[in-house]
Amino acid sequence: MTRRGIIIRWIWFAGSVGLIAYGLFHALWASPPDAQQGNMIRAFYYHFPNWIGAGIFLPLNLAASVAYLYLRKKKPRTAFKADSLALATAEMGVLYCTLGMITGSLWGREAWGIWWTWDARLTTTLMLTLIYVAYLILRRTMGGSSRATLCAVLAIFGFVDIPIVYMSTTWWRTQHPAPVFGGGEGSGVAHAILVPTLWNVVAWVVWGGFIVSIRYAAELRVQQRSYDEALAPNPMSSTEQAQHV
Amino acid sequence: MSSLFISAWIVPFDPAIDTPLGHRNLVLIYVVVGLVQLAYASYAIHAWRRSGQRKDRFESD
Repeated sequence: MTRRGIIIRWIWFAGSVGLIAYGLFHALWASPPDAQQGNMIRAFYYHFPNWIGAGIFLPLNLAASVAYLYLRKKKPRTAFKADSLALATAEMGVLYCTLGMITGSLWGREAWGIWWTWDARLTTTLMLTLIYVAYLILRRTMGGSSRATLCAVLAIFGFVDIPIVYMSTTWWRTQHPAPVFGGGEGSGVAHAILVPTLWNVVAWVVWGGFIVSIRYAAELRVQQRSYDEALAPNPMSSTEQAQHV
Repeated sequence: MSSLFISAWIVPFDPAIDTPLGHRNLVLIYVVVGLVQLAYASYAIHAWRRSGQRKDRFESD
């Protein structure tokens, strides 16, 4: 990371912390309780942004994976950037999916009386999380040049679950409610709920981008060094050759 | 645990419209999201620093 990059990240960090603080202020104090759910509506402000985060970083993982497969032979160094971005976005996507499920479960216990149910929305969401957990495990456990290629292919197949998750409440009868935004007639929320929701969505997405940028920089540094080491002449073999001579 | 108790005072609670279980779960939602995000941020920074240390070691070799 260059000096300019570090300065940008410090500004990014300060901005995201400020946004999170402002979002928290709206979520806890500046918004009224709901007529039906009381103060439990405040769970929505920290539940919904997680899914928006997953909905941004997992498609980015797909784009980076496709870019890697396209560039791996033409431009290896650019392909490393794509692969590093794929790792960083997959980790962030898994984090947001996990937090979305935890917050949803805590909210559901109060709203529905149950921690979990095997309805289509929750089950496909769990599958989505497990697919990307498998992706991260594969990256950790596998070595060699084919690792990034296999992971990129897995990411493309794993992404197929995302439209299924989104459409699950439309295709099947589920305990989970239909989409709040863009769910057709009758969807949408009151202005008093919309404002804290949007602030927290922006705050957590900006924060997620900040963390992704750090993970990306770290992974890229590791990959580029491995590549340089692989290309560098082996000093041991040259010494051995000299001894033989 | 201490952050959980602090948050319990910060998160609004009205006995007329809220249940104790709902309040506890609401506190947990805010605490869990905050702590997990902080933990992952710490891991990301640790990974970044570790990648730099490896470079230094490699260069000194």
